[in-house]
Amino acid sequence: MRRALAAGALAAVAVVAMSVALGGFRAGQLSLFLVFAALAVSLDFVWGYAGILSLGQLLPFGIAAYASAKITLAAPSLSVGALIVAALIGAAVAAGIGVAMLRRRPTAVVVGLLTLVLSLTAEQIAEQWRDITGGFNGLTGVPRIGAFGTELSDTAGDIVISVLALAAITVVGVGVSRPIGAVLIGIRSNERRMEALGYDTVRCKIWAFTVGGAVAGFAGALYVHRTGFVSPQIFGFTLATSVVLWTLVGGRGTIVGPVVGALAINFASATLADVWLQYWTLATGVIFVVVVVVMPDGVVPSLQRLAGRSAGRRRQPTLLPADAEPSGAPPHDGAIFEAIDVRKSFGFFRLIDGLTLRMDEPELRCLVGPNGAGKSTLLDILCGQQGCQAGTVRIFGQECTGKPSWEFARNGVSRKFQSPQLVDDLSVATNVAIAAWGADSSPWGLARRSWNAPIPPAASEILERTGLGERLGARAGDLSHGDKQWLEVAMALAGNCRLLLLDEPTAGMTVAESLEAAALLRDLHARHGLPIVIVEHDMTFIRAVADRVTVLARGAVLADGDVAEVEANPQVRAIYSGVDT
Amino acid sequence: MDALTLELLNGLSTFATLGVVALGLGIVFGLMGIINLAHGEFVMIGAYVSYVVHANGFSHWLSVPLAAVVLFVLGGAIELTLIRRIHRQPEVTILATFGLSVCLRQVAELVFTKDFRGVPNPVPGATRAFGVLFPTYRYVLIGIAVAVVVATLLAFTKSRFGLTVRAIVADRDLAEASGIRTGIANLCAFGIGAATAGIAGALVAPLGAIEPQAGLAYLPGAFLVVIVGGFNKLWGVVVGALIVAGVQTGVIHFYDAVWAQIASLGLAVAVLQFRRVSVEGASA
Repeated sequence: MRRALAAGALAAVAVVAMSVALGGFRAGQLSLFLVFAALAVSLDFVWGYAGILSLGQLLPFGIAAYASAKITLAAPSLSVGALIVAALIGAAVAAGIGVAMLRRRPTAVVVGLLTLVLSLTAEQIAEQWRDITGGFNGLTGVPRIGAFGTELSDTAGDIVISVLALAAITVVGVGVSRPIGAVLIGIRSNERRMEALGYDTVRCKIWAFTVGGAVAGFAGALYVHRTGFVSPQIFGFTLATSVVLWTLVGGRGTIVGPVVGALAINFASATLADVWLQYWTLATGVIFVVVVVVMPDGVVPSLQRLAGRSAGRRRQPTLLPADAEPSGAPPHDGAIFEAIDVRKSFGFFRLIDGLTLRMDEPELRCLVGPNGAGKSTLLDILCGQQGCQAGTVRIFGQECTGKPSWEFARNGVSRKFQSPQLVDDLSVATNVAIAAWGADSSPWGLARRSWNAPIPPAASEILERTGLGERLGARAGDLSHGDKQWLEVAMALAGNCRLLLLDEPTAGMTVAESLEAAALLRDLHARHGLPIVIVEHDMTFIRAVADRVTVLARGAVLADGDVAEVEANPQVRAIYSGVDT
Repeated sequence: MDALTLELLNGLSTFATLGVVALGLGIVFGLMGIINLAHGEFVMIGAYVSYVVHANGFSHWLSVPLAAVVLFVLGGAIELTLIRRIHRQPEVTILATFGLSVCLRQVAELVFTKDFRGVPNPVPGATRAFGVLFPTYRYVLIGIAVAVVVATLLAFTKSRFGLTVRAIVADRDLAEASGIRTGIANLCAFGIGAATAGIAGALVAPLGAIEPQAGLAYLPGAFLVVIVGGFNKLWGVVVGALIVAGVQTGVIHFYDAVWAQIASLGLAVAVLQFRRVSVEGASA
C-alpha cells in the first residue's frame, strides 16, 4: 500500500512538473491521456484482476460523462461536485449490469458479447434521444473544471485533471495491493477453488465490476471537463477497441501496464497520426492481433519477466499461528453430515441413485468403489460443488441442499479436489492466506484487512512436515505434483475446517509416501478430532488410515464397516473381481 | 389490411437479411466455438466486391458468387494464419477477431477511402402482389437469402462433409483419432462462414451506402440472432432471425428503431437468463 501511494505521489509530482515545463498543448494532451489511462485501469481492475472481460467499459464512462455534462451545463459552479456524482452514476450503471449479467455465471464469451452489444446500443440511443443527449452532435460547451464559480485557466485546469486522474489510478493501485487484489486474482484464475474456500465469488465479481464502474464514471466526468463536449461516439466501437488495446498491450493484472499502454499508444497516435493516420490505425489493429497471439500477458509483465522479476514481487502475506484451535466438529444437533436418499443423474445415467449416508462421530472414513460408483460426485454434493436432483443434505444439522459451495465452506466443509486446484499465479503463502481469509470474507473487508493470516496448527504442521514452509515465496503453479497435493491439503485445513473431504490424496505418491500421508492424517484426526472423508483406491493406504470403510456401487451404498468386515464381504469381493452375485 | 401486409413483407425482408448475415456467425460459432467479431467486416467486404464488379461494368448478379469466392479465400487465409493458433481459447478469439476487425476496416479505408460508395439497384421498381406495392429487389433478396440459408444448412446437416464437421463438434479428439482431418474441416467451415457473409454483403449492397464502417451496423443484430436462436443448433439461426425480425418489425411499427434495438437486446438478455450456454460450441 505504501509503495502504491508513494508511486502515485511521485507520478503526480512528475506530471505537474512536466505540465508546467511543457505548458499549453502538451499539458493538455497529457491530461487527456491520463484520463484515458484511468479508464484503462478501471478496465484492468474488472478484467485483469476480477477476470470479467468487459468490452463495454465505455458504458459507465460515457453515461457518467453525459450526466456530468448535463449537471455542469445546468449549474457551472458544481463541476467538482459533478465528479463525485459521476463516480456514483458509473457505479450504479455497472452494478445494474453486473447484477443482471453476472449472477447466472456467464462465460467470458457471453460477458464480452453482451457488454459490447450494450455499448453499441447505447451509441444508437444517444444518437436518437435528441432531447436529452443532443443527438449526433452531442452536448458541447461544457465549462472546464472549476469550483465555486471560478473557472481555472487552461493549463491549471489540465494539471488539476491530470492529478485527479492519477489519484483515481492510485486508489485502484492501493486497492489491489490489499488482500482483495490477491483474492480477485484467485477468482480470475480458479473460481471453483475460491468458492470451495468460502468466497461468494459472484458477489466479489459484481463488487469489482461496480468499483470499476465508479472509476470509469469518474474518468468520464474528467473527460468531459477536459474536452468540453461529449457525443455518442463515446460509446462507439473505435474507443471500445482502443481501451481494450491499451490495457492488453500494457499488461493486464498490473496497474503500471495499462497506464504505460494508454500513454504510449496515445502519444504515438498523436505524433504519427498527423502524417500517417490511416497506416497508424492499421498498425494498431495489427499490434492488437500480434499481442493477443504472441504476448497475451502484455508488454510490461513480459519486460518484468525478462528483467528476472516474477509474480513473487507481489505483496506477501504474513502467516501467523492462530490463537485457538478451530479444527474439529462444532457443537451441533444430529449427524456431522448426512445425505438422505440423494439422487443425481446425467441424462439417462443415474450416477447417484437413492444414496443415504451419515457420519455421527468424528471418524476417518474411506469411500471406495469401482469407477463410476459415484464417489467423487458424492463428495461434490457434500461440499455443494454439484447440486442433486432429489434428496436432502445436512451438514452439522443444518439443511444445505441446493446451496452454493461457499455456504458449505462457511459451515466448515473443506475439500481437496482430485487434481490439485490452486491459484497457480500466486505464491504458496498467498494461497494459504487466501484459504484462511475465506471463512468470513466480504469484498470491503478484504480491501481493508491486513496481510496477516492466522493459520491453525493443523495447517502449519502440514507446511512444516512437507517442507513447504521453507518455500512460502514459490509460485504455486511451479510446485511438483506431490507438493501441490499437500499445499491443497494445507489450504483445506487453513480455513474454517470442521469436516475435511479428500479426493484421492495419494494419487501419484509412492507406497512410502502414501503411508506417511496416512500417518499424517491419522495424527491430525487424533489430535484435533477432525472428521475426515477420503475417496481412495489404494487398499494399503486404506488399511493404514481408515476407521471405517463405505463401499459404493452403482450410486448407492453397498457395504459399510471396518476394513476387515468390508474386505470379507462377498458382495464387495464380487464387484471387485467381476463375479456376478 | 394492406398496411399489415406491407409490415409482414418488411418483416420477411428483415428476417431474410438477418438470417443470411447471421448464418456465417452461427456456423463458425456453432461448429468451431469461435466468436468472430470481424464478421461484420466480412459483410462489408462482400459489399465492396459488388461495388468493384459494378465499377468495372459487370452485372450485379456476378457479384453474388464472386463475393462468395473472394470471402471464402479470405476466410480460409485468416483461418490458416490466425484462428488456427488460438483455437479453443474463447477469450483470446474474441480479442484477436476484435483486432482483426480494426485491420479489415482500415485496409478497406486505405483501398477505397472513407467515401460512401453505392451500387445501383439491378431490378428497380416495385411489384404489386398481395394487394400492395413492394420493391422488386427486396423480393429477389428474400428469395436468394432464403435459398442460401437453406442450402447451407442442408449441406451441413445432410452431406458427408456436414457429417464430418458434426463429428468434430461432438468430440474433436475422438474425430481426430478416427482419422478425420479436423484442420481441413475447420478451414472449410470458417471459409464457408465467411463466404455466406460475402453473399450477404453483395445482396444488401444496392440497399445502402458502402463504406468501411458499414459492417459494424450488422454485428449487434447478427449476435442477437445467434444468442436468441441458440449457440449450438445450426437451425437456431433461422429461429433466431425469425424471432428478432418479428420483434424489431413489430416494435418499429409501433415505436421506433431505438426501441426495437432495446427490445431485441432485452430479449437476448432474457434468453440468456433462462438458458445455460455452452461456449464450447458443442451441445451441452
